[in-house]
Amino acid sequence: MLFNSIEFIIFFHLIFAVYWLLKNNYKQQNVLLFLASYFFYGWWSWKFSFLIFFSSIVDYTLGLLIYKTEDRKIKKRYLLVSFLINFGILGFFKYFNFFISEAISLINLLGFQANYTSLSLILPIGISFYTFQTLSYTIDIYKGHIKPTNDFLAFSTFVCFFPQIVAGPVERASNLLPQFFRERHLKYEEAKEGCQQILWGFFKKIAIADSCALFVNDIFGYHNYDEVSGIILIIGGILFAIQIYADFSGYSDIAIGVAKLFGFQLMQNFNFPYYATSTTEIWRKWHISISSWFRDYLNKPLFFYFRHWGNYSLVIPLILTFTIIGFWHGANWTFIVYGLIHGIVMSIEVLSKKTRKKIRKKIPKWLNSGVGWLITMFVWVFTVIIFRAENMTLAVSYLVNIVDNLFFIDIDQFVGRGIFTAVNINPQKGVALTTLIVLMFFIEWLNRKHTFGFKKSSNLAVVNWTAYYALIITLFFFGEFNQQEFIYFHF
Amino acid sequence: MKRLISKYLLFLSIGFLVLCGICGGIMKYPNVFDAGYFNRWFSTYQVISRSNHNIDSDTLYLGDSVAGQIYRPEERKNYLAYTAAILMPGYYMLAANAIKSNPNIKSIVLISGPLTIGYEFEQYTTYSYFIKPFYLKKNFLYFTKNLQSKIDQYTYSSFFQYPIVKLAPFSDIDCSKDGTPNNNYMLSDISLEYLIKLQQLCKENNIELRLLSAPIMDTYISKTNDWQHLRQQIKKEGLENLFKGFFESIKYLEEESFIDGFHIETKYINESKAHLKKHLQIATK
Repeated sequence: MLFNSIEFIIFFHLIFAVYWLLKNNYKQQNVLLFLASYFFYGWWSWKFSFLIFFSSIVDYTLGLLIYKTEDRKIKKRYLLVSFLINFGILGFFKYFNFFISEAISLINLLGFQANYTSLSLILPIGISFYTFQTLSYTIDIYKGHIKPTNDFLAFSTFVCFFPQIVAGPVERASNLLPQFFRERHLKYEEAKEGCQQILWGFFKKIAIADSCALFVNDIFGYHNYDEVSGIILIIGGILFAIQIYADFSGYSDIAIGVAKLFGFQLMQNFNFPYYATSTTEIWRKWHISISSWFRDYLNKPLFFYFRHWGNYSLVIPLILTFTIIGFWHGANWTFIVYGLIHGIVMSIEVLSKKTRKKIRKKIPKWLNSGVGWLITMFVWVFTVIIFRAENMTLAVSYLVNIVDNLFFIDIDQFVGRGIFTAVNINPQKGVALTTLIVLMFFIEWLNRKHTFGFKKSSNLAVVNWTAYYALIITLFFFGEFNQQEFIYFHF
Repeated sequence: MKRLISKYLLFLSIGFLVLCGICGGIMKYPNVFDAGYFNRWFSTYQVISRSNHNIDSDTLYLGDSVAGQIYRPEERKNYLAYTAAILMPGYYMLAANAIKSNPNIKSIVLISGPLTIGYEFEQYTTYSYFIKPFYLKKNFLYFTKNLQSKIDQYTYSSFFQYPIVKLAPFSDIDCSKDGTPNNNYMLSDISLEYLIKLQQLCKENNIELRLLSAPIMDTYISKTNDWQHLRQQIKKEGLENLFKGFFESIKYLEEESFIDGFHIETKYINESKAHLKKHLQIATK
């Protein structure tokens, strides 16, 4: 079930009404959330619901076993079992075909003959998100950070909690799980904030991301990039950077807002990353739940392992962590390269910290921030082009043709004719979209000190309501209601 | 909770009224707005509105989207050529409304490729381009039993009259069924029915009806055996006179001349316009 669908709106209102009728009994509310979450997920594929249920049973049991065992070695074995099962399922559905086909290519490259027909595997939606969420539970128990729960229903609802099951935020058990064991109250101000966040999320998804998608799909989908103006290719890259942000942060806003209306506080997943002045800063603000997961459970242990390697103790963990973050997105070299480049850039930033500090002292702050922002955005757009491309060959072709065709101007391409289908894009849509994008970033800039982009409100209700209606009217007339899936559903 | 629910309901009610007001205004004066900013089907409301006004000409042009590329509706009041997605009943209703408002009309030129002229009702775009825009009280008298039964398949069809439903961007329904948009490259039942109605309408009003073809890809010659089935159907239905000069007016272009297989590249527009003009003159003689 997509958030941007009529089905979800009906589902949400029904569950919301029943949920708060049970307000004096949080256990009954948990049962309702459990059933609603499986219904929500099962709407897409009921068969894969069993996979989540299996994952829940495994980690619930292993969590208890890890906690009860005194022997460190046995604890470690249980944790290893959790790793093997969770990564085994993830690896099978997400990476099996990739590894086999790459191995076959390598064998053929070495001069041997090997054939393989790839398995037609469907990637279960949200698998990368709930796998990492359940894993954090067993790791935290192993580390002694949390105690396991005896309440299987609460635990499995924590795993499949419908607002965030398909695309996060990837919650830590220490934050979300205890919320299932206390009475939830709906305060008016919190509910209002939840509604504001949902509205803002819909605006970003439907008015910005899906409108950008019209242009992006047209430009990236036209594979003969040598015929396309370099400026159009740059616009395509920038629009994809905006699309992916509006899409994913829009989803997070809706998820967090919906959870708030059920009395839950989810972690902030985006903190206005596009105002960052370095790649390191962007990653502190982009997809916070997963980047902090990798920081805590991979980067820190790696850093500890390499701690005697001098500068390498910083560089190796960074490059490894970000390459794996890239690979987390999917089984494609484009994602690996995307992560690898970020790892390298961040390593350069870490190693040049002192030098940059010296330079910073000599130049005005605004210049330093401006240059930093430009470089950061250049790297970001460059890498998201690779991220969006279907394969590395097309990614290289796209990037090469930006340079080769920089001064090639075909006016038809700019007015939605020629090689791009006139039915999808036109200059007016471009003007409307540009206005909406500027508006989005302006409003977010005003709210950059808050937890989401539309939080700031006036003391006058009429001003607030006018702003809400303006957003709804914009959505109604300029939104793309073609129910495009959220990009991160595929990861 | 009570405060929340009451405010939420109040917010929704005011929002609904505001949207109804805005949609009503837009529906009343659709030509004030630039269609490019809106959803793709918004232009349908503009051509419907234009058909109800003075067109300042004795010739009315109707047609599919390729004809719309050649005779852009925003250029002249008498060009209502826009898209084949409005189907033959759509062309008929535009013509009927235009004739009512413009007794000076002496001829109607319908420019549609041999493929699009026969489009079936069951298409992906039918709901947004035909059902919602043309479902107006004043058009009900033009609905045949066959058409009404097809529309009635969609529940809540009576809501289609309201501007907010017409402009709602999230209520699209895919009306397509298996198969190509024009099975066997012939006239569909609905297309045939309304083409005959259009012919009668013109006859009753002493208006000359001319059919010309929009340019089409040359691969269709072999694919359709030079429109063998369509030609046979025309003969069987006794429509030879109506289709006189139609097949001769087809301008076949190479695959490279098309943007997406249907729509022609900008550079071929003038050439196609000249070709149509020539055939229009032949048809007039």
